[in-house]
Amino acid sequence: MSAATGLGLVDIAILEACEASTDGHPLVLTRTVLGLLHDRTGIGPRVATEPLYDLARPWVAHLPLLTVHGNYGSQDDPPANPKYTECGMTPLGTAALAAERGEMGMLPIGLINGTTSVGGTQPPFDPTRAIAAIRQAATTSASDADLVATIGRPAFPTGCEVDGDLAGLAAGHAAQLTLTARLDSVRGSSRYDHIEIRNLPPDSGNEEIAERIADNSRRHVHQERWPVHDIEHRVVSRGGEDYLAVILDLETDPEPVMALLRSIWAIRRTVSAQLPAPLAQLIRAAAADTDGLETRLDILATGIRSATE
Amino acid sequence: MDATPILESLTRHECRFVVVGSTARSLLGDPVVPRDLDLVVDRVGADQNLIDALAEMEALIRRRVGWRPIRECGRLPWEWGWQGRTRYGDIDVITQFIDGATFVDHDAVAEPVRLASGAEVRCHATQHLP
Repeated sequence: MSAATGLGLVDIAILEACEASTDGHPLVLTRTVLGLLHDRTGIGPRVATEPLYDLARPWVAHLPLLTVHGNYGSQDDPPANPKYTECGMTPLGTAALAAERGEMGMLPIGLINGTTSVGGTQPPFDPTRAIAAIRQAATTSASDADLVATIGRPAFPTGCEVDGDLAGLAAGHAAQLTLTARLDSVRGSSRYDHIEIRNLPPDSGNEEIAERIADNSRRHVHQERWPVHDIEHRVVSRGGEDYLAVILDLETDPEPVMALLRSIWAIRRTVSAQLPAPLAQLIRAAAADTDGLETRLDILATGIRSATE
Repeated sequence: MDATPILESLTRHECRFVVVGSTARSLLGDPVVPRDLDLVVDRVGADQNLIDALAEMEALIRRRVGWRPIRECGRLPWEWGWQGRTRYGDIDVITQFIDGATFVDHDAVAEPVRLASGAEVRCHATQHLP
């Protein structure tokens, strides 16, 4: 991984191809970027399309380095062909390449975005907390334990719950993490109570979860009472967020049902995780170059704002 | 592919759409063999009609987990569109293009074509990027 940004070779090559393709324009056909990437590196569109879209997807990367106009997919649906979408650099993506060229100091994007989205073992961290921890390392005599407490446990862009051997992870050891969707029982305004399933683990989608719950329903109907009356896909109209609502039979205690739901793969996933070094050491490395550090931390913070827009 | 049964089902279910791409060019007389059926759909009050029409043909919709029967799909990605598969061939359902064009824009320049069954569909002979 790059010492300047923590990004991998493929991501850097994609960013360089996009920067060259856009050449001052905000957006260019994604197919054009992929074509230039192939010409320069031999990495073909079949391999590079998903990693390119991942650099823009808010459920994959805390800090997007590209922006995509058009259908770049969702947790449930595949993206459009690259000839039907456009992409361009975000300000943070441009800054990442500047860091790679040595035009500015280190930008610890890899520490925040992690590598689990590409099948690696480094989990992502909350960007606001990571920035706070880096600033704390640079400006105070905080202990390693203080820095680890400030950055907090790994945090995935989907907002799922994270548990597991967090101390071992922070020490730089291999660790198992358990990623679980957020389940909330809701008292229904009509006759039925329901359980809302939100903030899914990465690589899970509502369609998959609905199918697995239905599978469980079919298995349980002959063994024990499975008090799921229906499953609905709902949309929060203002935010556009969609989630699953598991409608329960009348007078059902939701707690046992929630425990059963948490046993379903896709609602709960385990991942193998390991940091390249102890977490405090990574934070201190990001803070080591204090020349222009506040400016660089502001650039990272700008990346957070663009991700939430 | 032969898009006629699909178009007739959509018409029967009162779906509002414009045929674009290779099928449109073929219906308008170009000597081209359509690869698939591209439709720009009008979503206003029409989602369920389209779902019913495609369910009649046991259509599958492409999701990340694979091809799923349309009746078993919870929420379809209507923002841009989705890919479907019927026993008559593949369809692309499009709700908007990246240049902002929607059903209204394509319908404004579409031409009517009468099918053998007597049903009429509207076609705009667009050329996809190679």
